[in-house]
Amino acid sequence: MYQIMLVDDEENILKALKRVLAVKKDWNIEAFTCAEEALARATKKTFDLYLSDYRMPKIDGISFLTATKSIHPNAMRIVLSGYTDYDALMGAINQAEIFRFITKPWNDEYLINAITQALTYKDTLIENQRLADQVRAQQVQLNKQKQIFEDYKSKHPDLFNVEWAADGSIIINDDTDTD
Amino acid sequence: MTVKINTTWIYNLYRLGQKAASAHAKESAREDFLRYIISAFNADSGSLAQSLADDKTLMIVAGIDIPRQAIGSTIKFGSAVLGWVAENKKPLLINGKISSDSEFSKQFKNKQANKEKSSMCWPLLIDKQVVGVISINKNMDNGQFTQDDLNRGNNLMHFVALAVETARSHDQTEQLLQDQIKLNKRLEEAQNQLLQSEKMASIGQLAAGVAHEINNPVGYINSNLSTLASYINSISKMLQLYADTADPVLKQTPEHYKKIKDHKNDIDLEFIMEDLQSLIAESMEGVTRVKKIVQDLKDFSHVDESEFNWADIHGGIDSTLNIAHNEIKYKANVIKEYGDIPEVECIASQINQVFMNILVNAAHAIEDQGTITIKTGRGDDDNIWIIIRDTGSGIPEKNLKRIFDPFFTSKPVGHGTGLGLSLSYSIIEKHKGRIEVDSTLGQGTEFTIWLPIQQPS
Repeated sequence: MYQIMLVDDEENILKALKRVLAVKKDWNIEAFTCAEEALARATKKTFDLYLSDYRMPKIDGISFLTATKSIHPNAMRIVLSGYTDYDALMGAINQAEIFRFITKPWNDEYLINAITQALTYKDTLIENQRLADQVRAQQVQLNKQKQIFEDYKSKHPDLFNVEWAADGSIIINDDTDTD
Repeated sequence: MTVKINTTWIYNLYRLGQKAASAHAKESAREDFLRYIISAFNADSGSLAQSLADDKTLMIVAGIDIPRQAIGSTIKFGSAVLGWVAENKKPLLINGKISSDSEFSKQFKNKQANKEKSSMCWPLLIDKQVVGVISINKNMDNGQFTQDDLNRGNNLMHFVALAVETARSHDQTEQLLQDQIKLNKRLEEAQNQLLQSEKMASIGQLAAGVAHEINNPVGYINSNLSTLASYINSISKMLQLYADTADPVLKQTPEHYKKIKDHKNDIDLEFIMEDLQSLIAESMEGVTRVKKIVQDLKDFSHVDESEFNWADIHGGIDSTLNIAHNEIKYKANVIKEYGDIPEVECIASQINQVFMNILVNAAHAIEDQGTITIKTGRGDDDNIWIIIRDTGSGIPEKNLKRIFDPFFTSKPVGHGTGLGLSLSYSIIEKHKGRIEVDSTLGQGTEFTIWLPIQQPS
């Protein structure tokens, strides 16, 4: 289940959004009209994606999303706004580091696509991190084994001076000094 | 001296001077004043000049028996006889030809100066300041003025000077008043223009604010309608499923079957299911239109935009047409013949305002039903043109010259400010373009706007 949080000071917007997003059975939605309450909730539960209005009383969407960034740095952030002024855009991109800026009135399909893409992107990011971690762990393992090998090689160098014939047999040279 | 100069004479002079200063028919009052003095010296002709505000120029304000065109003409201090008198602040007596006088022989060589005349000239002094000059002449056959006459005149001229000064300050006050009235009118015009542009700016701000607020409810209405459509689709499928599978079973209990069938007929379910589709479709179309209007309002206001930017003129006309839709839709059929024009460097909100003014005027000019044609194209120079033509009532010839004047309106009181076109004119002027009008009474009006593609740097 993906955990998605919606924040908009207008209840009807949240209701409409929940109806639209309900088509995705693996999305669990939590919606808040108050950004402060939403933030309090975010400290208790991990969310994959935050979708917030821009203009809200007390805390605006940019500040809210910026705050979620320090709580869940890996989560995706989307702004859904009726206002598209310059300041809103700049703040959303540079401070809140959002994935999409969607304007109201929105297109349902576009919204679902944007969220799906954001979640896929997040999965890819996490997968990337996991793989990078794995590579690093394997590298450490590999280095260890390499070290053991080198140690062994320096202890028994003759073992590694063996001549092999094409058929896999060991060639024993008669000329070898055997004092 | 034929007239005895006593207190009565001076009182009468004073009365005439007062009259000359304040009367409506100033010119004749001044002539009366001058004639009164001339008769006192038994002279034949004369002229009266006042100093202008710069105190360096005289203007002839009255004359008796002098060329008519001389009245109103100006004379610099120092030049000509009157000018000499004003410059030197000395009275002058000339007997015979002026050209033969040593002082003026070089200056005057014309016919007038060659006449045999006896003349006296006095500067009119108040506090050593020359307020005017008076000259009186006598034909030689009528005798000559003497030094004695000149001296007697000197005393008299104090009173004349006072009377002239009164007239002069009266003139100056009046001039000041006129200037002030003119200035006030210009101030009023400027204020009104400012008011108008402020009004437009605040309307724009308001519109943009409202537009953003509308986005919220439109947002969920739009989304809910989509959801509703999909719900209805599900319900309709469900009903169909019932009809297909449950009906045969129900038929076995005719009592229940009839009950359901009756209710179905009562509510006309078939119609409801059909109409639901169009209900949703129409509502969605309505929302789409609201979205478009909101977008246009935002485009039209361009709140933050007061600088020149590259803008699509066709887009501007379209969004303006959308806003003016209410004014136009019942009156005119709009035909667009857009040419291939590039983006234009302009203040889009202001250019839209020009389109708005012309389009609304066009709609108002159409009494019943007509056509508004909008054409665009590229000009020879680096400019574009926009033609807006209506089939309205046209503008009478006498009004055509005035339509760009501030406050000129042909609309009934309270219906037009008379600022729309003057504002449009100043906007186009600001864009280094030009706007022209061509109109035939009873046939329609055509406005042509030229705009440079790029603003000259």
